Amino acid sequence: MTGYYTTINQLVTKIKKVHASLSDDDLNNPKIIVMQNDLDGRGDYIKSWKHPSLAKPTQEQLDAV
Amino acid sequence: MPLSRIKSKMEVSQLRLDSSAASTDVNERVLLDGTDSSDTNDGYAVILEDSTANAFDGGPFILSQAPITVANPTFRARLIANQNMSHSTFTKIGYTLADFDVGGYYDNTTNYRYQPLVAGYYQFNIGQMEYSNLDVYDFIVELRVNGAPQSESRLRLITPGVDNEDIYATICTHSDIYHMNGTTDYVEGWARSVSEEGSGTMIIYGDHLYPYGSWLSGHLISRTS
Repeated sequence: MTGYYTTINQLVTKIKKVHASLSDDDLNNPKIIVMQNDLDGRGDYIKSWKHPSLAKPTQEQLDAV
Repeated sequence: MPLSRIKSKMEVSQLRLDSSAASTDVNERVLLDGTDSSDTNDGYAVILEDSTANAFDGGPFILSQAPITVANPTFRARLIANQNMSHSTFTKIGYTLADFDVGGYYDNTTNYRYQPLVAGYYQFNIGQMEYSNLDVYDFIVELRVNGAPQSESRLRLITPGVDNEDIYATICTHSDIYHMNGTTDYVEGWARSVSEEGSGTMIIYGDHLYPYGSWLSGHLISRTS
């Protein structure tokens, strides 16, 4: 599991930077990508990633952008 | 057993079939049979002791355990202030105010979940106002059991050729019925907003004074143990 991000929109912004070709339709489709916040103070994280062609970003990729 | 022998017991509001034995006395019973006084003549058994426990166990009453004395569990919780979320991110709703909570099963401080200790079928209701005012065109409210999505309601507004649609101040509602095991099962309310901007702080409505824009409620319909 990749890390947690407590700043609003930090995770989604990083994902878009890692995968610039990722469409909004795919990003917003819960059957493909689910970002989640369990309200436990840890923040947003990638709950599931089932994109047919783009790989789930690694922690290194997310850290680099 | 002749009625005369138990009459004195009944006058003190207590009827003992055999105070000297436990559940090993099979087939002790209270008979509704007024035709004779024989305790061997079968009548209608109100309580029938079996070889292992009380015959009512497993039905709507568990007589071998201390009864749960709460009334039908029911609750209603809501947000007392707006809650922020990230764009397109499923987020648990942290209802902090319980308008009522019969049984005290709603956790409004840590996990924001309803975990009833009475097993049965419950109806749950969720309603949430989208309050971002940021061209939100897709809004989901969801009921989750044990953290897993079960059912949801979704508002999605896409008008061809039109930009900046917004479902600001729209309330999305949803209801469903689930079985709770009375021990570990819990229910939570979740939400997700998607903005045409693809960024910005998503907001779901909450206000201490106004209970109409945010709620999670539920009540027991049918007890199963």
